[in-house]
Amino acid sequence: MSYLDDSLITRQLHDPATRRRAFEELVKKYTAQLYWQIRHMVLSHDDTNDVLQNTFIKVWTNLDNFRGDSKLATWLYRIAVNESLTFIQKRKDTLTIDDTEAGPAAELESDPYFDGDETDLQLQKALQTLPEKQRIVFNMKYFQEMKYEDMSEILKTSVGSLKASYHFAVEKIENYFNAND
Amino acid sequence: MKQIDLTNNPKSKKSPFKVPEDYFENFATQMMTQIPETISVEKTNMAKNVEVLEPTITIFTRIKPYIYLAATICGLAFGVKVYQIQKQYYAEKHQTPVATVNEAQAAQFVDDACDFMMIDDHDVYSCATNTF
Repeated sequence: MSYLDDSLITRQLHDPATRRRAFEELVKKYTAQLYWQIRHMVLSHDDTNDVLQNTFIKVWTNLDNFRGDSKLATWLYRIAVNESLTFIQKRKDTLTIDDTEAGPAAELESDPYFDGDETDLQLQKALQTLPEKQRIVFNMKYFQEMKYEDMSEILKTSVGSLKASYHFAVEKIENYFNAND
Repeated sequence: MKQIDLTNNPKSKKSPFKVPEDYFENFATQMMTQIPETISVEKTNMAKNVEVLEPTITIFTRIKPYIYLAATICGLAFGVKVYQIQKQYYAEKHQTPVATVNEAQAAQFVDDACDFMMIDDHDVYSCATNTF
């Protein structure tokens, strides 16, 4: 499936006559990328679907605010990350004392859309122990194999900080595995 | 449980998550049902469905411009009149008392003349009564 070029989509998004059609193209082009970005953060498919829809709704309502200072993909990722963080914070506020430290990761065992083995499950539980920002960096680097430069634009953090963040995340996960072996 | 290599092993990077069948294919269509129509389409629909009501023209509406014109003229005339009255008042208030100054100057002139001509009061009385 071929997609329209980002610059063409951006021009069409700013034209009321072509805005809707261009937005549909944008949704088709970026659904998968944004979905996986969100999924690795919120874990559940249903929650991911909700956050993804909220992301695109926010994109639609803020189209006039996008002036092309950054790349279209960068802007979309940034909104997706912020929506994911907002969702996680809301979910955290509703957690009770009885909830385990792993939180949503503990529900993955019974999740029909979780296809991993025991190691994958432990990895997800280990990730839940990381601070959100560190988790985001790890997911982007490890699962989505994003370049540090691209991550830097999305998260507005220096490449050096991102590398340090990833390094510490890996260390903590390895310690978690060693402690739970 | 096997150890996971977080740095090198590409197999470890397989995502453990999966999605429902045809999820990505159907998502865009489902998403667009939540997006409102564009403004241009909205206006077109509104034009088709809503009758355009013309405003009712009353007598007051018709003569309103003339009322505004008359009020403007009256206001200008009133302003000019007020200006004239103020100018006249200011002129009267600061008018120079010419008669008073002339009387004083005339009296001084007579005294100076009398001194010059060496005329005394007896001479002045005689002149005034024609008994000179």
